Amino acid sequence: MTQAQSLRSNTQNPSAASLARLRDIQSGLSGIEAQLSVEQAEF
Amino acid sequence: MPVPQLQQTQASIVKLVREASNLASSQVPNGEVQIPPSYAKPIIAQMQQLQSAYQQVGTTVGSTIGADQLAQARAAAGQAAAQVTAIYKKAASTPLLLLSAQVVLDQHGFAVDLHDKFSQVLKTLSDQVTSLLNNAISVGVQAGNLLIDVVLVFIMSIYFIVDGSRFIQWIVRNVPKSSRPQVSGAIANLDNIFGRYIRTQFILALVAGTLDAVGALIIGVPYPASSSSAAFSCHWCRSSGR
Repeated sequence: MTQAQSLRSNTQNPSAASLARLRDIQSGLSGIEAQLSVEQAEF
Repeated sequence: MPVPQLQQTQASIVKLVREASNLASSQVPNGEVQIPPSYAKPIIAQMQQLQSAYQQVGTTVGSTIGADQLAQARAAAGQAAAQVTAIYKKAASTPLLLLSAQVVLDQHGFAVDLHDKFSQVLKTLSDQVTSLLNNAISVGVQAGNLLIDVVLVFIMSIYFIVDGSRFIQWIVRNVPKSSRPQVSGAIANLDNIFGRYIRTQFILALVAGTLDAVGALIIGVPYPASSSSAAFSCHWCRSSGR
């Protein structure tokens, strides 16, 4: 990879795929929120 | 509430807390970027609050206190979700180079938020460029106006000098025959008066410049010639309308 290509790739923002773990946590929390709503309704 | 359901939710929360704790790990899966520890820290804190709130639900289940704890756990889950969304947006809008630099800074204990600094720098840069462009446009417009004025005055002066008498004859020709002598006389008078006015103003400017030079020499003001020229120019420009 040339220096220009390296600079170009480094100045780009991360793609959605490269932040997959954050998205997993996001969807996991949404699931827990939904689960807690159900539990609250059952209480 | 059935105990297995409670345990299942607890297990899900524990799993998420573990995933959040591993966010800032240096061993990232292929194709993913490392999340800076300072980004992961608030997420972990919120998730731990959620975990402790839900643990209290487990110990107080079957009572009114349990309902309160469950509401608290749900609120904590909402706050954690909002925190993760905010961090996701922040990470997604930070260039890879800055993310890597933030990881290094966090690992060495420097409490600097590069995303915020970068935003401030971009905003300052944008403001400066906008101000510069505005000034450049303003200066350009003024220079253009001045150029047009100079060219117009130059062209009109040439026309008046070369064709001034023909222009006056044209005016005289275009008035009724009976009024031509009066118009011709009026124009001649106007020309005479205007010429005298210009000559007078020129002489006055000369007098002002000379008096300025003499005064400057008497009281010992440095550079009397410059001062005299300035007095002459100011008087002359004021008289000629500029």
